[in-house]
Amino acid sequence: MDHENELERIFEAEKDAFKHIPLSPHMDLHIELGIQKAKRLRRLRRRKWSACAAVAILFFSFIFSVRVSTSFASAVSRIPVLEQLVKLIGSDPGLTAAVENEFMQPIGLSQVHDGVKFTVDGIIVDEGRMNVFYTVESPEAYAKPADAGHFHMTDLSGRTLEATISYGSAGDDQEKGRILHNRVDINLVEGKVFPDRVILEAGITQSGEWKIEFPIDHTRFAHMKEKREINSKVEVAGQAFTIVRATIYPTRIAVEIAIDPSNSMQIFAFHNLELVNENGERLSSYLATGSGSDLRRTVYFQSNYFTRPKELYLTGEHIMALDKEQLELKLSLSEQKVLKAPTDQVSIESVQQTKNEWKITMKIKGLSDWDHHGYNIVGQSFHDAAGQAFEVSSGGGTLMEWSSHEDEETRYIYLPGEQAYADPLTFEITDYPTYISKPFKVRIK
Amino acid sequence: MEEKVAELVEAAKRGNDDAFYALMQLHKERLYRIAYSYLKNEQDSLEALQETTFRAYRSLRSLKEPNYFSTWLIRILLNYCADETARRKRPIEATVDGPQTGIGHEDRITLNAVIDRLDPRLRQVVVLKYYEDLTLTEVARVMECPEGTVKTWLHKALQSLRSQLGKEW
Repeated sequence: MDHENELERIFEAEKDAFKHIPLSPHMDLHIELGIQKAKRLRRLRRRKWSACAAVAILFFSFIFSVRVSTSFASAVSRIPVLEQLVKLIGSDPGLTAAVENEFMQPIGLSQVHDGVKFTVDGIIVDEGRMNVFYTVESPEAYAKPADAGHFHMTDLSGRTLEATISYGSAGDDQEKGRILHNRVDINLVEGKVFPDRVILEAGITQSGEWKIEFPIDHTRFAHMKEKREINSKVEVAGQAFTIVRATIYPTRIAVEIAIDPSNSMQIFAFHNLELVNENGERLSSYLATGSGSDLRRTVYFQSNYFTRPKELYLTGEHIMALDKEQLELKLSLSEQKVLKAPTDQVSIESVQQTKNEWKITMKIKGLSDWDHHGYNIVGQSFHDAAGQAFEVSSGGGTLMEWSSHEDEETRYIYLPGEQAYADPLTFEITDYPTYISKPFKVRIK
Repeated sequence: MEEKVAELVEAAKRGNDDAFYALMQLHKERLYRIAYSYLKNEQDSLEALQETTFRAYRSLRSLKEPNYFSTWLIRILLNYCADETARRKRPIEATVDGPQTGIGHEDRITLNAVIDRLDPRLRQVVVLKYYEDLTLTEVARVMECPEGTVKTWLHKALQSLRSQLGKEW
């Protein structure tokens, strides 16, 4: 028998198995989460970046609406390779100023595998934050240029640096060419310092994992860090927290906050912190670490190091908080409703039982138009009326919906289906749309 | 279906989210199965579906020919799956859950494992042609290359499979 036909017959049988791949009940949720992510990014182009994330990998899309000043353009033109990277700096005034002040360290190291060339063009780096600018060149045969992602950074012994790594896919306008420029933003945990040499690991389209080693010239930023002990206590609606210190680096400003453990309320997050100089120019935060019951938080802002402000203030208005005695949410599976919650903003829309699990659809309503937090409301663990402890199953998520009249979010919670639960179930609240809204201002400099 | 898809694509391009959602509904099962054939588990396949939705939504405006939406969408998914599989250091356990078919379970695992080891482009051709029943023209559209190239790759894929599976094939 003809070998190829024989193989085709085998494929026929194989296809049958393929058609029987069990479908997941969560497909619709993930379609919605994908749409939501796209819409959120589109919104981010217009809104200020108000990230509030634990140490995790963030994705972001670079914002191309950059105002190019003449000195910036001339600074960049002196480093020809980096000229096209102007756009990648986006709307971060700290990075723009860093380039203007010739703070960029050219690297120019490349690797070629299977016709794909990966080049680290240069870095903007200080003790705590590094932006790596890279170029990926694909061979002619590629329909679409290869891009890099899944970054990691290690020291020479292979130890992963404690850092939050953010990167985005290159802009759509770059998808046509064979050469793609992009950047990855690496933020070390406050207090950690980059070693003299690092290894950047990147997953590159169609060619697997790459590693490229390059040096960091520490003399370029030696003694530039400015640590300011603040120790200003702020009290808002009877809740106290202390702005412990601010550390000003060339490309970031880290503000450390200590929450008073004797507060009657749990502070989940500071919503809209900004740094303002004497001329009213604002810097937004791009990252925050610590949440929930953590008493220490660090918020990272863009930097104005090079413009040397005379005065600098930390301002904020909305603090997400809840009375510590209200941190419990009880719900009934059989009645499909919330039995106990701090406010009526959270309700159960439906409870469905499938073969493998329980799906709880929760609505979060009455959100302010500035509030796009993506509420989890409850954590991973819960217990039933009999006192037995359980964990939710994976696959849950929060869907954020925006409309002109009212903003709301939908939270999906999945519970293992093989269990019998004694109603009601009790969860601990991890975040909640209740705010102490009162402006505050602390002098940093 | 093609006419309906084109209509929905036009509406989605104008910013109609319901139309986009409907498009994803029409394609979700196919996308999920293809993802599963690469990634072998539910969580990663859902992630692939989510990322494909995200990328499609974001770059829908760049799609010139609404009739090509289906193949365009599959291409986005395959690019994602190729990146994911390339990124993984650990080899993926090769199994397909499903009822027994004409060939024994053992053989299926072998065939699957061999398909997994194919060059990514050859593997894509096999998955699209044999599992997804796409025509050669459609496969060519997904992979953005001439039909003749698809034929060559298909031939190479079969040759490679046969040699790896041993003489009895």
